Amino acid sequence: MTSSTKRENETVQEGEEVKRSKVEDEVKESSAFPAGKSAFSEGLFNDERKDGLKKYIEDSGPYKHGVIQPLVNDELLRKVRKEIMEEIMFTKKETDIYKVYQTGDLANLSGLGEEELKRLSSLNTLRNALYSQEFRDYLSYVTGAGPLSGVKKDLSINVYQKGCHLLNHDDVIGSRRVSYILYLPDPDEPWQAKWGGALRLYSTLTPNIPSTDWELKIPPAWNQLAFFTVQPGLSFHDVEEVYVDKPRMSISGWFHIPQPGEPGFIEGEQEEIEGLSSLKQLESKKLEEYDYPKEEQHKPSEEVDVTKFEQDDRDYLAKYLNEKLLDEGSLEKLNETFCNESMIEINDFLNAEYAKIVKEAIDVDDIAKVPGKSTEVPQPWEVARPPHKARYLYLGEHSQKVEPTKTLAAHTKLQEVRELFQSVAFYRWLYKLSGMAPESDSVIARRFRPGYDFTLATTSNSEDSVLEGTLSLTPSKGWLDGEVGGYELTMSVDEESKEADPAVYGAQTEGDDDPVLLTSQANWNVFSLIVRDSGILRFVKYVSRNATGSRWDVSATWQVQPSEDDDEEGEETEN
Amino acid sequence: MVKRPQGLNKSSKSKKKQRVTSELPSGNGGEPEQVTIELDHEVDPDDELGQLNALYDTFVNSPVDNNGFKSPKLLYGVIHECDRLLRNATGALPSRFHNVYALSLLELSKFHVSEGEKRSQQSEQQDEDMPVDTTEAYIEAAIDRADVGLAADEKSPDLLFTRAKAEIALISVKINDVTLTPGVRYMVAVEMIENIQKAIKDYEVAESIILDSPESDANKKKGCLYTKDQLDTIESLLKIAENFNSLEYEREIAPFETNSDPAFEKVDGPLLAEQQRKLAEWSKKRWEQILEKVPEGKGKGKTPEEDGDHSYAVIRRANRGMGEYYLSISAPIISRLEASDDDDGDDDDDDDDDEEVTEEKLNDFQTAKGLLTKAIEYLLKAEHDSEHDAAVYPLIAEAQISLANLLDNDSDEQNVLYNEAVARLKKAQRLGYGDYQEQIAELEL
Repeated sequence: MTSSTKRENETVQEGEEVKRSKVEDEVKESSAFPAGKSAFSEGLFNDERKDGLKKYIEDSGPYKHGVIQPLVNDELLRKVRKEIMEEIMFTKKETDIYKVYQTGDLANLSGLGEEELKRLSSLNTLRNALYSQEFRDYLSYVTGAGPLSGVKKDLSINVYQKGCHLLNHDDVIGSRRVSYILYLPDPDEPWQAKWGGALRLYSTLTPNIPSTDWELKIPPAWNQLAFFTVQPGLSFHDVEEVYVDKPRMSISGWFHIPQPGEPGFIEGEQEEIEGLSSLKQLESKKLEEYDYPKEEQHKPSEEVDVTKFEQDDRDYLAKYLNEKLLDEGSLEKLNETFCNESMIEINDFLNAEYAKIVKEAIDVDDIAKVPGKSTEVPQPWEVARPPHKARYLYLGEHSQKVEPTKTLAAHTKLQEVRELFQSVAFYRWLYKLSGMAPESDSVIARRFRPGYDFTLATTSNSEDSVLEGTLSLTPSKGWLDGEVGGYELTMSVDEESKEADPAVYGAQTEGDDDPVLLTSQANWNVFSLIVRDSGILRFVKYVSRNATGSRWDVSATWQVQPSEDDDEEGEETEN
Repeated sequence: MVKRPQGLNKSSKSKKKQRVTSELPSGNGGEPEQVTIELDHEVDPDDELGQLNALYDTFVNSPVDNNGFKSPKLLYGVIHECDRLLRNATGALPSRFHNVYALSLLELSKFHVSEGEKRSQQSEQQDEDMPVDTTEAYIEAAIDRADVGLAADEKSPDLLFTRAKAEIALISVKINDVTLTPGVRYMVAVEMIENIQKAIKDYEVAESIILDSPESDANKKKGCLYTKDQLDTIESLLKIAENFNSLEYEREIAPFETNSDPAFEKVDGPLLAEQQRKLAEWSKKRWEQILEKVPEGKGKGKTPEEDGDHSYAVIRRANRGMGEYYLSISAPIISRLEASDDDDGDDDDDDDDDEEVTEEKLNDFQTAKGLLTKAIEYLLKAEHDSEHDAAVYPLIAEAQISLANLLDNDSDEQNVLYNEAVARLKKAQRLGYGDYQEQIAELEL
C-alpha cells in the first residue's frame, strides 16, 4: 500500500523563484572578456546551420532534443571554468534521487557586489549571453518551443564527482520550458563516454510512464550544449553515474515561459502546464497498472491461530533460522527491545549452515556478468519499473520455477527464504517477536545491480500499522560507509509541511530533529523489522557501479490484525 | 504475555519529547574520556607482557581501510605501552617484547613520508613545518630495537626475521626514491647489494632455526612457527629483484635515448642483472623449502581457529609465492613480446632479419606460456575461499589474462581463461580487495 511521494525537489535545481521585476539586466559586463566580441562560437547563428539544427530537432527521438558544439567562444568558456574552479564553493547534496556537488542559484549574480562580480565576470558574461534576446530567439526558433523568458534566469553549476548521479525524472516543475546542460569538463582532456556522466533520454510507454531502459545517450563534451523542450509526461531523462575520479562540471538550468510584463506572456499558461505536471500524474491510479512488482497479498491457505507457537513451528524454523532466535528467553528479550524501539536489527539471522548454502547460490549470480538492459534479464527475474519510481530485479508470488545453471542460482534459495517469510510458523514467530499478529503478507526477493538499481522514496497510504522486514543477504564487502549506496533508509515525514522531503536526510544527522529513523546498510544476513505507521518514508539508495557486487535482500510487508487501541504503548496481548 | 509496540514514527516522536525532558548534565566535569580497547583474546589483567602481545595482535587483526591501511591508533597505543614497560622494567625484557616493539615501529613507518618525499614537499611548498619523523627514521628505530633484543637473545628467530624485514623495507624505500634520477637510483641499488646480503643472512638463520632445529622437528608443526609478517619479506625481496630488472633495462636503453640520465654514463656494465636473477632464485628457494619441509596439519580444519594449526595457510602462502615467482620471471619476456609486436607493425627490414626475430619470438612465446602455466598451477593451489587469502585472486587473474593474451584471439581456450579471470577479479573485489572495474568491463565486452 505505498505510493510515490509528492516531491518538490524533483530535480537538482531547487526551483527557487527569481524575485526580480526589471526586464532589462543592469549588470555591466566585465572587461575580462572583450566587449563587443561575441560570447558565442563563430557561425552559431548562421542561417544554414540554424535550420540544420531545427531539422535535426524535429526528427529527433525519443523526444525532441538538440545538441550544439561548440556553443560558446572557447576563450570565454575557459575563463568561466577557471573562475568556477578558483572562486566557487560546491556543496554535496544527496537525496534518494541524486548525489551531486552544486553551487547555489546563479540567477542573482547581478545582486553581487562590484568586487565579487569582478571575480566572476566571465561567468556573468556567459549567463547574460545565454539569456540574451539573441540566444533565446535562436533556441525558441530551433526548438519551436515558443517564447522564452529573459527575466527568469534559472541556472546552477553542478560537479558530478565519482559516484554522482541523477535518477529518472521529466523536469516538469512550474514554468520551465526548455532544459539545458552546458558541459565544462577539462577542455584539454577529452571526456570519454566510458567515464559515465551522460545525459540519457527515455522513451515513454504511455505519457508519464518512461520505458525501463534508456534509448539515447549523450556523453558530455567540452563546450557542448544539450537541451530539450520540457514536455509534461514525456521528457524523461537521467544523468548516468560518473564512474571515475574526474569531475564532470556543467552549468545546467532552464528557460522559462515569459513572465508578466515580458513579450509573449500569456495569462494562465503556467497554471495550464502545472495541471499537466507529472507530479500530479504520479498520483493517478490509472497509471498504477504500469507499476511492477504488483502488490499482491498472500494469505495462509487456511485460518490459523498465529498466537500459538508450537514445537512443530520451532522444528520447521530451525532448518533456516539461528537457533538462538527460537529460544523462549531470547524471544522475550527481542520482544522487549522491539516494543521499546518499534524496530530491531538482528545479525546472523539465518543459521550458519543454511546461510552458507544461500551465500553459495547468491555468489553464482553475483560473480556472473550483471544483466543490464531489461532484455538481458534472465527468467525468473523481472524488472521493477517504471524507472522514475524504481528499478531493480525481483522475484515475486508468480515468478517461474527455473532450474539453476552455472551463472544463475540465487533465485532458488531466495525463493525459499521468501516462502519461509510466508509460512505460518514464521507468522507465529513474528507474533512472538512483535506482539502483532500477521494476517497476510507481500514478500519479494530483490537484487539491486551496481550501476542500475534503486527505489525512490515512498510513503504509506494506509493509516494502519504494518510490519515491514528486510533480510539483507548481500555477500560482498565495501558497503558499510554508504559511499556506494545500496542502503535502505527509513525516515519520518516532515511534520510541518506534512510532506516527505528526502532532501533533508543528508543535511540533518544530529539532534532531535534528525528525521532518519533507521539506515540499514547492505549487509550479510541481517534482518531488520519495523512497525511502519503513517508518516514514514523509505527507499533503497541507488547502487553505484563501483559497488563490489549487487545488493540482495528479501523484503516483506505483513498486514497485521489491528489492535484494540493502537495508542497504548507496550500493550500486553494474550499469548 | 507478548507486548505490542507503537508505530515507528509515533514512537520516535514520543521519544524525542521524552529526551528533551530527561537530558541531564554529563557530570564528568570535563575529564578526558578513557578509551577502552577490546582485545582480540582474553589476557590476565596482571600480565603486562601478555596484554602487550594481545594489543599488538588486535592491531594485526584489525580491518584495513579502502587504501589497504589499518588504523595507526592501536600502533601508537602499543608503542606507548612499550615505552612504559621499558621505563618500569627492573630486569631484562624478553625477546617477544623487543619484537613487538620493533614490528610496531616498522608498521608505523608506513604512515610517514620518506626522506625523498619530504625533500620534494619542502621544495614545492617551502614549508618549514614538515614532519620531523620519516619512514627511514622509523625503520631504523625498528632495526635498532631488534638489535637490542638480539644482543640478549641472538638466536631468536622472531627477532632475526623482523630485522630482515626491516632491512628489506629500508632498502626498498631507498631504491624507490622517486626524487632521484634513474641513474642515481641505479647506483643506490648497487650500494644496497651488501645490505641485501645482510638481510638475507638474518632471514636464512631464522629459517634454519624453524625448519631444521630438533625442537621444531619434534612438534611437527613447523608451519605454525611462521607468521605472515615473516613470509611477506620474501615477496618484498622479489619486488626488489623486479626493481633491479627495471633499472637494468633503463641502463641498457640509456645510450639510445635522447634525454637519458647522464648518471648512467658513470655506470660500468650490468651490475644488477645478475643480482636480480639471484634474488628471484633466492625467493623461489624459500618457498620450495617450505613446501618440502612443512608438513600439512593433522587437523580437519583449514584454519588455525579450527584446528590450532595454520600449516595449511603457510603452505598456501608458499604456493602463492611460487606463483608470484613464475609471474615475475615471465614479466620481462612478455614485455619483450609486446614490444616486438609493436615493432612488427612498422618493420621494413629484410626477410632474414624477420626470420631471426620470429625464431627468437617463438622461443619467448613458448617460454612465457610455460612460465605462466606454472604460475597458474601454483596459484590455484593457493586459492582458498577466505577473505584472508583474497590477494591470490587478482594474481591468478593476472596470470590467466597474460596467458590468454598469448593464445589465438577468440579461441575457446582464450575465452575460458578470460571468463575465469573475470570471475576471480570479481571475487577479489567483492571481498574488498582492489578495484578491477575497468579490467572487468573490458574483458566482459
